[in-house]
Amino acid sequence: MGRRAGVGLTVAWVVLYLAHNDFWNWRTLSWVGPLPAGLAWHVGLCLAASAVFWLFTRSRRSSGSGRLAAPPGEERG
Amino acid sequence: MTVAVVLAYLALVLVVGVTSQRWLKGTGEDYFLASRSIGPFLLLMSLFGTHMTAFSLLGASGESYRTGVGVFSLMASSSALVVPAVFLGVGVRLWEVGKRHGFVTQIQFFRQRWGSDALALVLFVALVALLVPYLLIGVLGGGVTLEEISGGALPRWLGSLLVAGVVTVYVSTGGLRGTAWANTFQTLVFMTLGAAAFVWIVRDLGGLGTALRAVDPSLLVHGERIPAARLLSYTLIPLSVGMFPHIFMHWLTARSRETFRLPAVAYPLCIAIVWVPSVLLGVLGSVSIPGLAGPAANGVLVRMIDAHAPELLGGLLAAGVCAAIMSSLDSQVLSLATLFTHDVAGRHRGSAVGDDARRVRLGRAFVVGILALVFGLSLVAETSIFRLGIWSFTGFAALFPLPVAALYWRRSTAAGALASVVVAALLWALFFVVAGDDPGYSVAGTGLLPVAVILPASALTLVVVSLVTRPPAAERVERFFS
Repeated sequence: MGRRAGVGLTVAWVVLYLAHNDFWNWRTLSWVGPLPAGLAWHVGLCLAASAVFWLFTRSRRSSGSGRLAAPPGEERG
Repeated sequence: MTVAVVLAYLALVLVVGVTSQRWLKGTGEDYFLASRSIGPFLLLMSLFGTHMTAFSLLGASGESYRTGVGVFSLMASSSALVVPAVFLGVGVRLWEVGKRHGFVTQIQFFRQRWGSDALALVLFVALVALLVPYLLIGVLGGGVTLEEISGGALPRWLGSLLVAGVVTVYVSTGGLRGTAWANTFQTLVFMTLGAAAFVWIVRDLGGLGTALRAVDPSLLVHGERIPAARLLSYTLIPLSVGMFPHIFMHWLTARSRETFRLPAVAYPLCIAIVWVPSVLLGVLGSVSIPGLAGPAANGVLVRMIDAHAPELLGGLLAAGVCAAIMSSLDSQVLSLATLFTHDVAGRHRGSAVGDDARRVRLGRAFVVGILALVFGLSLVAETSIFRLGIWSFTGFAALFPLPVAALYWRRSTAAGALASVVVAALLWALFFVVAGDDPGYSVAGTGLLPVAVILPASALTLVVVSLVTRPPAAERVERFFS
């Protein structure tokens, strides 16, 4: 994975983490479709998290850093 | 009819679990780790099914019934963000180290990483002490479910006995391969049937929008029930996944490093699929079935099924709840048996259990013994499943600095790790006593959960003590970082 992609995805994860603390959503009741807005926000966060992890694992695969070297097989536990 | 469907389901799970025995090779590595051969889909289902417990379905709907849909943000979306990050940041590295050195348990890893028997012993005691309440959640949840769906015809103790009995048989015969197969089957069952039940019940209530507008609006916002500090500190709880012995065990079963990709990507989606219906049915239950108090609120999901779904679907859905419960219970029990056979009996009885066949036999006996003990405890326990879960998760999360330091910090020492565990244990015990039976307890009334204090204290202790003690031998460090 390129350094820039790694930093970008880490930043994306941090943004999602901050967005999780959505205190502004929860004082008054509003609706997004049939769902309360606060709940809909957090469902959206789940979808966004999946997308970020997909990009993360995809970029690792394309850079080849996801491959494991043959284990040396030293010292059994 | 409902009870008959559940009993038929339990019989089917037994068949799936026991059938896997045909593929057992008779070696310890196969019984305890399925020969490290599990592929991406089975790993996803095993990890997700293991992580989703009675806590997720019964506890979440019960807590939603009491405090509203904000419970989704506390446990579900925070897990969707944190758990896959732990899979990729800790799980993959532990898998590599475990494969390279032939580790089977966490204790083996920490003992060799830091070269300390004292640390291994203290950690063993801590893990077992935290895992037993977690097992209790499953056995209690099984009892509550079957009692509710049978209208009391199956008393709670008999329901708990049935669930514990089925798990005992397929875990003791099929080992981890049987557990992975049964987990996959059961995870698919509870996800599919959960979604079907949700659709059916909501339709029976006149549609989701209509049904939700009848709910007390204060249950549809955080309001004063979930202050910002509480929401923030709940994001630390999912770090517990980094120290669960049963999750560690499943990580080690992965066929390759690439196997972790699907679980990391699909986990947040699976979380949403399971938790959204569970949480919504909890708040809708506050309208349909008002007046449930204390642990009785944990039965709201089953009561909703009973009240709004046809009998056959009710039976299938109750089977789905049992599936969620058993798919966690099995891995937890097996992980305890693995810890016991490899870290206690295996070390202190020397060659007497040195060969695989004896170790497997001992593991099977331990599975039977520990489930009998937990069943006995379930007869006298009377507590909220959600609270029981939170205290157990808090303890595991407080130990999270250990795998991070072991994998990423060369300078960390055995003394630092040991001091960290001791500080975490003392603070956990202190807060447990101070909190008493207060379900809304926060540290000095700030809204922060105890984990927000215990985890930083544990991490700080590890860093400070490591820095003031002698650095670890270069040779030992190189074995893990080369």
